Amino acid sequence: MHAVLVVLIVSLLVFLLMRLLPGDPILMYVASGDLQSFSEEQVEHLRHELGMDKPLLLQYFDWLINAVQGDLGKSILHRYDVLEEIGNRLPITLYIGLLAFAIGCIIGPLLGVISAVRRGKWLDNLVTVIANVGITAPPFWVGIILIYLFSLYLGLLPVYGYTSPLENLGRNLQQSIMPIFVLATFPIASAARQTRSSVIEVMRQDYVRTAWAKGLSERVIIIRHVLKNALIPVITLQGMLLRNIIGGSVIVETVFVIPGMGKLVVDGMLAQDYTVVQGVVMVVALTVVISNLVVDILYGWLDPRIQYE
Amino acid sequence: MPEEALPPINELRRFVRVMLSRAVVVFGVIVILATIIAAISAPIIAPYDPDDQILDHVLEQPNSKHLLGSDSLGRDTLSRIIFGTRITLVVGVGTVLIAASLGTVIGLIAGYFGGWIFTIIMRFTDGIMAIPPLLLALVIAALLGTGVKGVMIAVSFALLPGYIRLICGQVLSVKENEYVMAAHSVGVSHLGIMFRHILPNCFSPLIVQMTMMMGLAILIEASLSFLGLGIKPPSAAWGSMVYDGYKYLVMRPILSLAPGLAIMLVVFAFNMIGDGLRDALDPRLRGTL
Repeated sequence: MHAVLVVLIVSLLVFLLMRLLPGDPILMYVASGDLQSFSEEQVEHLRHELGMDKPLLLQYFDWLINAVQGDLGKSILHRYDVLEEIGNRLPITLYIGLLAFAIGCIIGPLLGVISAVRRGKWLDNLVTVIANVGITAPPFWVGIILIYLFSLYLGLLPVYGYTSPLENLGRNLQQSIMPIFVLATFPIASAARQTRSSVIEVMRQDYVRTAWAKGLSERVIIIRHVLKNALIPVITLQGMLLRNIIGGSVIVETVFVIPGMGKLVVDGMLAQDYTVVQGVVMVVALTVVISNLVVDILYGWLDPRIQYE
Repeated sequence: MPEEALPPINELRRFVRVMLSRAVVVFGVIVILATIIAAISAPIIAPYDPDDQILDHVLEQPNSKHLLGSDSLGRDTLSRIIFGTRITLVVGVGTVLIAASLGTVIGLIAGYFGGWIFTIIMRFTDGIMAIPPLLLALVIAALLGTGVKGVMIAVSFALLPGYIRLICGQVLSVKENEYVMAAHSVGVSHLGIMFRHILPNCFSPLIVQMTMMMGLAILIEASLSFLGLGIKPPSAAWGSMVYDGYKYLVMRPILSLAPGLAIMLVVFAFNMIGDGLRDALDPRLRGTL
């Protein structure tokens, strides 16, 4: 119920944002094509055709009712069906994003645990430095450095582009490895930091001391007693990271010229194509809300003290 | 608690000692101080005018005249980086101040009054949070038009929900304290309780969050500028410098590398100061450090 409400609020926010701020898409459309000879009446006719002369609230409900039925409208500029286009592009963004997320979820906490267990040793210092660099490096810049190093200097990987994995898996991997790494940098770094500090905190708890006193091995203590408790704040973080990965796809898809959702929204924005931007933001918000639900469920499973009514 | 008996001057000393006990934090402080000095004295220390197009010095390699080379229009990279500190600091600090003050007021109201006010505010906050901050800033910046003002509004809005959540959470726990009830019983007004008794107890986490968010704000601004939806050329913004340099990556990688490194250094410095502040302000760590 809560999730549905959040999605509704997002839809209202996005709609209002797009309509209340300056910029007239109809005029943009007319100016962009060879329609400059359009008369005032023809412009108004077009506005009427697109339903953009109705009161704002009515426009919103029109759009919402259509959206619920799977119709996100047509691109104002290019006339393609927005949902269909998103359908074509979402798998590309999810493919790269989820791989990056999975890598972040595995490597990040792993580095964090190693770092916490070897606290103060050189390995810990190394991980801390890598993590701090990872959360501060601008993703577009990391992408450019990788392109320079691996594509231009060493000539090992293609500079940019995207091929479907179903078409040519080898080429797909060659093209995707750098974007995936760029997207995974922040999740790896921040998960490592969070894991490290929460593992250190849990290791101070009485029950961990008890486990040591019982003579359990370090491996058993870390895996059975420390990890499950230490991972709770990390899981909360992962929900946020997924959101950032989707946001980050905007950057990565621009740098590596990947025809995904991020590229779609940037192009839509540069052209002030309302329906496209609205559609993409809605689908992104829906993805985030669903992933938050998953996080909540995981949460309850990890810590039975947390109950949901 | 031995600390309570100590005079206040030692509390300040303890704060400074803990804060500066780690070398990286000192490094962060130095970098930010240097950035501030560079921003203020940019016209004096920059070797060239950042917008000066010296057309027979186009795309130069780093040399004694142009320490970091020059771009495709013959502008000196080092001078543009030095002038870029201004936009970076104004956007980084300004947006955080805007977002933090607005977020504090909204969060205070939501947490203090509770009930349906809390529900409405927090649902809207959840709604904004469902959109990735970068995407949200992108949409707003695109609609407001490019320029410092548009970017600042966009970034502030993207940061806002974080502060509302933080303050609201703090208020919910602080308002259960007995001194709040005592203030009520002697007839202190709602405003008085909110700002005199509750708000000061939210300051520590707020300050830490603000420092950390300056890094994020700078990153978002740089990303917007990189995508061409932020601060437009000819203004020297680091993000758009990286983008401009990207086109000449084969010939002059330094054009992208140098401004990117500058972004990273400043973001890193703000994060480290935030870390240091957290160690120094966290009451749970008091006595252990």
